[in-house]
Amino acid sequence: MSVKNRFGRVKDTLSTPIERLERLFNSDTNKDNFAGLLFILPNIIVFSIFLFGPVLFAFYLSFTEWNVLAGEPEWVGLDNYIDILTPPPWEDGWAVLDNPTANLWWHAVIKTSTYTLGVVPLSISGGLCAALLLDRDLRNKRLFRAAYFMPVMLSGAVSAIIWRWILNQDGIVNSLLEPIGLAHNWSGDPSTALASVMLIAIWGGIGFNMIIFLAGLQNIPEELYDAARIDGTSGWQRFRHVTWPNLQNTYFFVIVLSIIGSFQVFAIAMTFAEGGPYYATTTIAVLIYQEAFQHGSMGVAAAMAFILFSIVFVFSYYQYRVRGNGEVNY
Amino acid sequence: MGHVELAELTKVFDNDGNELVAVNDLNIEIEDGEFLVLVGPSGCGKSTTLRCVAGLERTTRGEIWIGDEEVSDKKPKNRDIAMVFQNYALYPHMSARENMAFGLKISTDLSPDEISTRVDNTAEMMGIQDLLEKKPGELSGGQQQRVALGRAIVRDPEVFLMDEPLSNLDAKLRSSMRTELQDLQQELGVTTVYVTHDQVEAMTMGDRIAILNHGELCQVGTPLECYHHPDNRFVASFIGSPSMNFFDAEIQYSDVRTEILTDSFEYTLSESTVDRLTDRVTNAVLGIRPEDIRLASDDVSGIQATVTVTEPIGERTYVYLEIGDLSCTASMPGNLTFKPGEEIEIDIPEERIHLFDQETDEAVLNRVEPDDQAEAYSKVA
Repeated sequence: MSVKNRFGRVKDTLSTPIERLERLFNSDTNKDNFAGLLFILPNIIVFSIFLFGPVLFAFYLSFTEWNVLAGEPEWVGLDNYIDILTPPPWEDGWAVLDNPTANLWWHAVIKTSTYTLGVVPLSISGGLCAALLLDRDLRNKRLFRAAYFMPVMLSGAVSAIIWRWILNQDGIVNSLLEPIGLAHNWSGDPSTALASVMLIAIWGGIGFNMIIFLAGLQNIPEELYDAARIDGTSGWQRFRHVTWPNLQNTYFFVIVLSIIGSFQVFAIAMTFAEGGPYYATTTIAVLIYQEAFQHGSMGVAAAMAFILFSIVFVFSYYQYRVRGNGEVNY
Repeated sequence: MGHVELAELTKVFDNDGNELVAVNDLNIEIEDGEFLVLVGPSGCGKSTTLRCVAGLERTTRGEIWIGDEEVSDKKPKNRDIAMVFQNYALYPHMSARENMAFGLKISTDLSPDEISTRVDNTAEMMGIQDLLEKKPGELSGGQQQRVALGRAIVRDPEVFLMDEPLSNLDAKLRSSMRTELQDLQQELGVTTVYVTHDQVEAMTMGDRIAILNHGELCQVGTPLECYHHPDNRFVASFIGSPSMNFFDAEIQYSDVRTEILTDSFEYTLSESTVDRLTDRVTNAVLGIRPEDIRLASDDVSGIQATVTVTEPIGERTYVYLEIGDLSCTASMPGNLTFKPGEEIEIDIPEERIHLFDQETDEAVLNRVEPDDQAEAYSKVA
């Protein structure tokens, strides 16, 4: 006996596991499976060698102490994880807030969170505004779109270098601010360095989010706006009742992507100020890099990478589950 | 009052310097409570006309009157209209109830209770009470269209504007919704302007139909007027299915007899028919509807034709014929059978022919009205 489940697939209700196994290794089905396997084999090989293999190896490393130059990895169990996470951030009355060296990991987590809280809302709202402006019949629309998208085409390192020049002590920004007495060493002062990195990320993020929002806007049927005009809505009400709810799928996607990207920020922070001054731009990824390649502690770096992975994974999975049935269908 | 008047309505789109005249100098008067269908091929300007009436497009020239007011500069919400769209245009994130209530909530000062009562009453009339709490994505096409109609009705407007509301439905649902819409419109008595490219919808639904082509009005009249008395060749070809047959012809007038010469056959016109010609043109187009072509009876010599293809559709059979180099379609009773390649003789009854001026495409002769047919027969005889 068989019944169709909601995907239309036939589900066996009475066959035993042995019967199912027999069917799997049987004649025609088996041949098809083998052919299918052959087709994806190249991808599996490349994926295993360059991604899956290294990930597993890194997972193993996170339980070892290993200096690449010093010899074989030495199994240390959970020591790396314990070292990283202790002392907890609230120890000594949140000492880590003032003194990064109290626990560099928690310092990096706080810096990365601050960065995320600043960059995500601003780059998303900026991207949405740019998309809304450029979705209209505007003169030189293509030129503006290209201009906003340009930063996305630059690598993080390149844009960080450009901005380092711009924000330099004697850079263009300071030469403009000097007459009004606001010149400042933006990248050299621990209190403004992270903000400068955030500025670069927002500058690039706006262009990227704009393109995704533009695609989302173009997906909204024109008739909905017509219907809303007939219903007597004002421009703002059309945004509120038509554009905004219909962009739900888009901004969910953009938010998740931005948050994940922010947690992994590396290139601009590293290139702009190399984690400094005084750990001001030491984000999680920068810290992992420094542990691995400057201090040679591969085991500690691998453990940090897995904690970061867990944070991103739990967040993404939660978002995915929460969203479940909230998608807008046209 | 839901009296609508379009006076010299013109809409020109400026497409990067290229002017596109979508609607040209359109004059139509629509009575209060009338069901007017705007029909024409794609790109004829029918939807643009409707959008101008709705206020979704600004007119380039001309006036639009709804009731006693000139509305061409007014916003859609101030025109007392409601519109139904081809793709329903229901707000996807709102339930059917919220969709119907939205317009009232935005543009009237009715209390939530009053709005709710009106939505309930309309839903009951449309038979959609059970759907009110569902979102559009959970409804079938037919149900969505009902909700969209409900949304228009609940606003109790002076004029309904409908832009191909049935074209996304399957054939069966479309024909039942057609009847339902007509019933509804008669019951409510609200002036309705209905756009379609489907001539069956136009013929069956409209009190009057307005046929547009290339942005210009070709004819406005009752469906049967347009069918029996097309003003020009376009209307003749557009209304009626299968389409009217046309043969380029030369008319030779003489005192003895008047003859129509086509490339493949000749046709003698009786004096009474010649008298009915509005203009004595020599280069003409002879038109005859497929349903007016008959098999020649034994005692009359007919026109020789060869059957090429037959399409039995039950009650009628469409027979595609070749008369010399010309081809034409005849609609024959379904009980007759024809084989491809078969030679038959057909008769083109004189009282059923149409003649158009080849240069202007204007009609110079239309068929005799069915009511006057008996009289005409006696004259011909």
